[in-house]
Amino acid sequence: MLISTWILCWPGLSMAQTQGTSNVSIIINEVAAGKVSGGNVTLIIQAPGIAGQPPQHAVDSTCYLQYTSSLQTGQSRQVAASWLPLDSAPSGCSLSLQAFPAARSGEGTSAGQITVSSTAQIIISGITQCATGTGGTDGALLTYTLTVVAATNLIAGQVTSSTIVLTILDAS
Amino acid sequence: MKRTGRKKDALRKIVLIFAAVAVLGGVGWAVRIRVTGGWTEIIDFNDLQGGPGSDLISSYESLFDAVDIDITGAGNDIWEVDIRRVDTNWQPVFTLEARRTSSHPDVYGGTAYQQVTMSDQLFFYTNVRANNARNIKIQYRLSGVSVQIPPGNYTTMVYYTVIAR
Repeated sequence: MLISTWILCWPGLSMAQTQGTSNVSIIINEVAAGKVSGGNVTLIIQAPGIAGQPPQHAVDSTCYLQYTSSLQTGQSRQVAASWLPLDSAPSGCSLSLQAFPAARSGEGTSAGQITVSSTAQIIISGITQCATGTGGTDGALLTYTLTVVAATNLIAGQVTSSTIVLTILDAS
Repeated sequence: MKRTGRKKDALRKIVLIFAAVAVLGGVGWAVRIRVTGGWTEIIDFNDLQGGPGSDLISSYESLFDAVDIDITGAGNDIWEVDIRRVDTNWQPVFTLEARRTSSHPDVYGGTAYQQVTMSDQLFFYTNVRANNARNIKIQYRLSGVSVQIPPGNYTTMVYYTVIAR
């Protein structure tokens, strides 16, 4: 009798469930995204004001590279710049570029001025976790300088449209 | 002597039967909880607030019915459900909240988001006996996300405990 009572009771006891669980899983993926604010840049080589002097270079500082970076602690990213494969500076000129990141945590530091070529060159290094912002002057200021390197090769009236590619890369 | 022995046996049987009925009855009335569902949120480039340069959206909500809870076996009890979490891999800056999104007769509390902490807190309850409630829907909200959080898979287990009051 006693045994049969326990047999009856035990399965019932084991069915009582006073606790349940649910799993919450948040997966955050890496983010590396950038854009240039300010649109296209127009640089015009002007004739010198005084005869005999070299043509003056042209400078533009109206664009900003805005970027978001999310990556593992201890890792970093950089930004490289290059022409599109078939693009180049106008005849007799070279184009240099320097980026000036804001002095805020994670936004990286300037790698100095480069002469833009078809080979990608680093303009910002040390980017970690950041969001530069999307306001008009947020991000890394881009300064383009078009310099006359061979005045005799200049072609008056020449208009050259070129594209510079800025790429966010994982630092090796 | 034999008559006395039979009386004792009979009495013993009656006691055991009553005990069995009482225990079985008690088990049958023991309030139980069944929890199904959960929430997985994938956060990536598409969750930037305003494209490149902007931060990740800081707050995310699950579906309104991410979790389904049944309370049964209430018998003669009134009950409450407590909620807490146990972290597996979690970020201290995260805030996880839960709320009840379905309505049930005589079930109270939990309809506004409340933070899910590491210790049990009252989530919702009834003050009516024998109030079995099925398909109680739960929605989660997570806040505290930013690009400052290293990419990874963050998980926590939410425990729902039903208690007879």
